[in-house]
Amino acid sequence: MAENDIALMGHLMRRAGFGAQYEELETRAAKGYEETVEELLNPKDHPDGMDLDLAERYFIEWNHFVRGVPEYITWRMINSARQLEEKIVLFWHGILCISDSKLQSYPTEYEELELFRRDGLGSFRDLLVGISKDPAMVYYLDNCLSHKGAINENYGRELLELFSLGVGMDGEFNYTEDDVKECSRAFTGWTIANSIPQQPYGRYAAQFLYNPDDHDEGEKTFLGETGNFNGEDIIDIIVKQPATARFISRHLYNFFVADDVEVPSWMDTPPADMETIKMLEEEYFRSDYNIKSMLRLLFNSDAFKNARFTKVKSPIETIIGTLRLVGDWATPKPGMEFIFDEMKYMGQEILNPPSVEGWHTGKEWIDGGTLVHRINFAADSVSNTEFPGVKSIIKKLADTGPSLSPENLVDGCLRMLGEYEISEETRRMLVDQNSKGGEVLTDSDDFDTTVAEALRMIVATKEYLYA
Amino acid sequence: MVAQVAPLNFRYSHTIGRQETRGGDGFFNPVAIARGEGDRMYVVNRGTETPVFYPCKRVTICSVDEEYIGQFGFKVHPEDAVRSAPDGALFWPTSVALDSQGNAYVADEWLNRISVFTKDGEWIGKWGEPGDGDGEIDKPSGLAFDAEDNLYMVDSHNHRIQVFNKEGQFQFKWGTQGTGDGELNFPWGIDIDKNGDVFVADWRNDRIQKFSSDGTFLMKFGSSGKGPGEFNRPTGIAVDKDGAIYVADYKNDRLQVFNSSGVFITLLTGEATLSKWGKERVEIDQSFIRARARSQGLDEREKVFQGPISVDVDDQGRVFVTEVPRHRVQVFLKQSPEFHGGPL
Repeated sequence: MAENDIALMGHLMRRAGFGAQYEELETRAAKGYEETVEELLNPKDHPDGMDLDLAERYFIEWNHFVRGVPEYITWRMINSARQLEEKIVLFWHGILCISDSKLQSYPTEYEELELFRRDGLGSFRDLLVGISKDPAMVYYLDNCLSHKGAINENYGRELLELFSLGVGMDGEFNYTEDDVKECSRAFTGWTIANSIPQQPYGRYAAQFLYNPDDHDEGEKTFLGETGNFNGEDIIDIIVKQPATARFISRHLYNFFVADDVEVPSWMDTPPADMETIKMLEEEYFRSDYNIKSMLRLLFNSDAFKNARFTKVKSPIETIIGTLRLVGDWATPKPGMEFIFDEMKYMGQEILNPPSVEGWHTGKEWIDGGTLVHRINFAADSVSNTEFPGVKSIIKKLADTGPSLSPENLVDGCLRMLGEYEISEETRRMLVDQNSKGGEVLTDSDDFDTTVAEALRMIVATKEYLYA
Repeated sequence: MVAQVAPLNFRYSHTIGRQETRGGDGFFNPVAIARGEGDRMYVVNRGTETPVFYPCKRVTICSVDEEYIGQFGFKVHPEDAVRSAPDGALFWPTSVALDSQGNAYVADEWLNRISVFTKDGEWIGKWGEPGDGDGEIDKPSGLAFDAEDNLYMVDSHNHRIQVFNKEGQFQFKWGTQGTGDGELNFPWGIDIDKNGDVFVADWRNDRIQKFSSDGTFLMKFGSSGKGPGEFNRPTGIAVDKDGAIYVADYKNDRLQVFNSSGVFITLLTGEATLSKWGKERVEIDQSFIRARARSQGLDEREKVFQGPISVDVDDQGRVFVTEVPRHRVQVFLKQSPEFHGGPL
């Protein structure tokens, strides 16, 4: 099997999922790239992608998701064989944002994540309808405070600005203040039932409620069309706008292919790769706004395949990817809290994006403090020779022959990490650091620690920040 | 409300509990229950692993009339949840069983040990070694004593039942992983009827199996599904003095009742009302009372079982169902036919 096949598979699994161990890359590469893309888009294995019941047995708080939702999502990201499903949950969680700091209702937040898992690869139109009826969103963006004759524009504005059209495109505004108001009028009456208080029996999920008495039935003019629009009519108008195609295409590109400028700059800064964006826009309309179709085209494109190591990994990608690599948390055990602490220290607290705009991505993930946590977390994990994934790397390298030169040790470790590519300068530095003892005997007592040290040094490089 | 299904009827009695994260009058993710002497009951609280909540892992002693009596056991930080955890510490407590003296034996699936407390909660011992050899255990789930004070333990990850004396000395065992008669797949709950026969909730096989006291397979019933007599991961099981079998059908959110032959009789889906402790809690803050009054559909949503994980039944025909995420126990009364005749 060509090394390039595995390198490409490593790339696909890092982007369409959270990475994979070398053995899985070999297996998938043997199956073929396009087949793997299809399998990611249409997974046929266990409905949960894992033996979820056993985890639920020990993480008892997952029952009805009154608590433990961050643990649950994290567990799924680490262990699900249906990796793209989990990745798309994270994708939408960063765009159609809600925040636990406002909601403080895990069962309600869980329902939204399930919406992303269920519909996140389907029609964008259906997803927008779903999110507009999602109790977490209705409360988070105050649509429950928007009434006939006394609108609250918060949801209407963010629906246009951050969830679909974007402020502008090619230097032109995509909508007016009047459109925001008319949009908000159309969503009046889309509210929630009064919640059951958390005392005495704990939290219950909030429920969507359509109140026709509070819906503004009057005529509205939105994006040039006039009618007695309800929320779904507004969404029908939104999804057919070229700006929506551009907005979703840029988000998909930014998340799966390469870092783009931050969203507020999209009005005036054209996409770096207009050709690929155009391709995605066309597929958006051709497929009736189908996200899966857009991703199929994207993953099979040269633009995607050639975009290796052009994207800074998010903290969650860094942590989940590392845990998958070393094989930690494959079975239930105490102490998951530290994972969320690490996410927080690295700047991405799950279920708590900093604002409705979500997280800023790319190089904005990195500053002095977050960098130290990234490096320490990855270095501590890959150098722990008790982890099954690390043991597997050591064994695979040991099986290559009786000894390894410093060059072969470094190259072997890079290969085991998913064919990581580094600059020649970094490679030379790593080889120099690993040259002190000369050739390493693979049956020597300290071979484990030698490999662990090499892995530790690699994950501390600048290149390892990228995926 | 009376469930009118022949030949057994159940009348909802009351609800015990409220969410109480740290201790005292209430529960926090209760997973098991055992009826003690008089009106005492012992409720195992799994609590949470979130470190800020201390001391949320505990066993609460209270009465059937919801009088708080005391609590025992305590939580340790996840980093300290190791074999050397202090005496009395609990991490993944799963069940409790009472011996003939009323001492409480608490199984812990993470620490792989049985902790023993007096009926008033004083720690008096522990035993258990991890492994798969005779007497070694791997994630002990359900516990039940027979009339001679032998402790039957569901050794869940070894897919077997092990029997110990109450000092923890191994007596005998049976079971292996599988789906055939007498084979088990991550079993969970266990109970012993008045004849000494053993009933096991064969969790991942979605069925109940009955064995003689020496482990001879006698019968099985149930299969995967949502229909009557079908299960989605049955957890707790109890058998009453008349032989009726109660199964906590955990992921179907219901309690199913079978006759002694394993024939489906009826199912209960919950009738919870505001408990005494719950009423005390909401009355502290008028905003809770107002919010409850405004909440659409509260009665219908709040009454139903959610995560019914364990069940116990006493000699008075009272059935106790523990719900994990609702931090409560619903009590039902098995109805016996009554006739009132005689002179006016």
